[in-house]
Amino acid sequence: MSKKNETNFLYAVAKIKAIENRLLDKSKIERMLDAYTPEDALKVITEADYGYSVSEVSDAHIYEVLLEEEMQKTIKLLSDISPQKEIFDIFMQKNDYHNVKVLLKAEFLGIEKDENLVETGAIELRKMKMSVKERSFIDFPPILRQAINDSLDTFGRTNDPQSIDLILDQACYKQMLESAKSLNNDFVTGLVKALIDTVNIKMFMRLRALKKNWDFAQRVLLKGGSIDTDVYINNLESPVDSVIELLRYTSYGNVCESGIEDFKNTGSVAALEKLCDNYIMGYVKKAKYLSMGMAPLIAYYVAKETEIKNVRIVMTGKINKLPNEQIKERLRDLYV
Amino acid sequence: MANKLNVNPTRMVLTNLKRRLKVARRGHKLLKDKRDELMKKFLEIVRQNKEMREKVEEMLQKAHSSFVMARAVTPTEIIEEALMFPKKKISLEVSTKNIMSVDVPVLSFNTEGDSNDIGDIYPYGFATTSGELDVAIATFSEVVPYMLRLAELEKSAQLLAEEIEKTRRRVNALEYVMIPNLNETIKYINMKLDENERGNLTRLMKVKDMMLEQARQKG
Repeated sequence: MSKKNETNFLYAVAKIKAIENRLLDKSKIERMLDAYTPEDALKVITEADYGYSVSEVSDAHIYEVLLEEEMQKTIKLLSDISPQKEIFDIFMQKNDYHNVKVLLKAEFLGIEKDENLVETGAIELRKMKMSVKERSFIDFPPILRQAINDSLDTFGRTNDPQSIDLILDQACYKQMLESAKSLNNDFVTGLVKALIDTVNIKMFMRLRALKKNWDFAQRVLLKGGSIDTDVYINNLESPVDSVIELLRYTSYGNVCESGIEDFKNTGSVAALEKLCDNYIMGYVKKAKYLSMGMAPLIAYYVAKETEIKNVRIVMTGKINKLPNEQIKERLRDLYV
Repeated sequence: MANKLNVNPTRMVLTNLKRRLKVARRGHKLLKDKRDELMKKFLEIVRQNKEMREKVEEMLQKAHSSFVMARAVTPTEIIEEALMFPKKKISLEVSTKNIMSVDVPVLSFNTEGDSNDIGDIYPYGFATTSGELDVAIATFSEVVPYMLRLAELEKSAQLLAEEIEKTRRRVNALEYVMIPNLNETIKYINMKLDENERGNLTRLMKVKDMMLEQARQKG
């Protein structure tokens, strides 16, 4: 990318740097954890200006709404200040695929499930609904079009709802990678590759736990990561220790080592999932000290996403009265 | 004090009542045996029920806590999407079994479709969901047969309890009302008949006396 393009982002990056400070930091999260009731915990995020609607909140259960609004707000802000809107496509396309899944499943079940749709797709929701209903996907990106046709075909033959998810997930990450590549930015491509790798590692461990065969694994594992899917497939049945050994010398060595170690002891992938998220956070943190280019914007988006995840973990924990240690165990690293 | 029945104190009624008393005694004994046996079965079922309930509750607890964790790390709409289209269908069959002439339900379920792959209960893709959801779903699906068994036991216990109550009421009615009443009435009729007998006897003696008197006067 040329120097000129990099400087295009100067204003946006400066603005993001200013806003970044408003992300919830450790002490705010601590305050939420120490809150006596879920309502008190919620106060922390309403004070941080979450969502659009409410200043006075009586019911802690509306936090989901707040979180969704906050996501929309973030996307709006970022696309407002970014000189190049497409850079967020990689994240928004994920929501397109989610919406397609919901729409297809709802159609096959003969029900309406509009509350499961998300607004923040790259394709406008209304248009998406119309297109899926009328089966006219001309305006859709080719990968999405192909994936929808594939899932319609496969579901028609097998009646297996899982195949819809599998095909669309596969396509989703393919699409993300493609969009990332078209941006011609190493940071973004690297991020998507890291996402694919971490998702694959997580899924790999789950596939092992569920004792799935390689045929199924082939359909599930995402292609295009820095670790080839064959590596996983060939080791689907090898002992855990050799899996750790196998991944030790990739960049995910640390993640795998302690994550899989924990899996061995507890049989739960929770720790691994957390470490994977932390790895991604570690990756985007590299952009913290950049003052040019699109990287800080992307990093801010990921930071916000993680923050929302953390808030959700705390709120769910508080509402269900889980002990603080159990909540803390699952909290992801923060950007600030 | 039991009340006597409102009957005519005749010999025929007496025989009838005696027959009824015999039947009532027999019925009482039979019902008492039935009650005891029911009680035994009931206690057995209740014990099983308690064990089963504890087990189910423990499993549900586990499933719920993994589900809460899965919800915590995944946005609601993704969870909803993941679970909106179930992969497996099960059909439930209800038949009945006879315990001491009480019809208790027997539930059995069949998984439709390919049941070879037991692990194949996950209707969602793995890329967007959390591993904790797998655990929750697996536990939920594991708990289904136990929940059915629990439903079976609880319904059986309930039906047996009703039957026990009914039987006990009958036993008590026989023991404290019917049999004493019959006894009382039989006693009453017996006394009445004896009384009549004595009345007759005295009347006869009186007549005899009178006749003797008349004969003496004539003679």
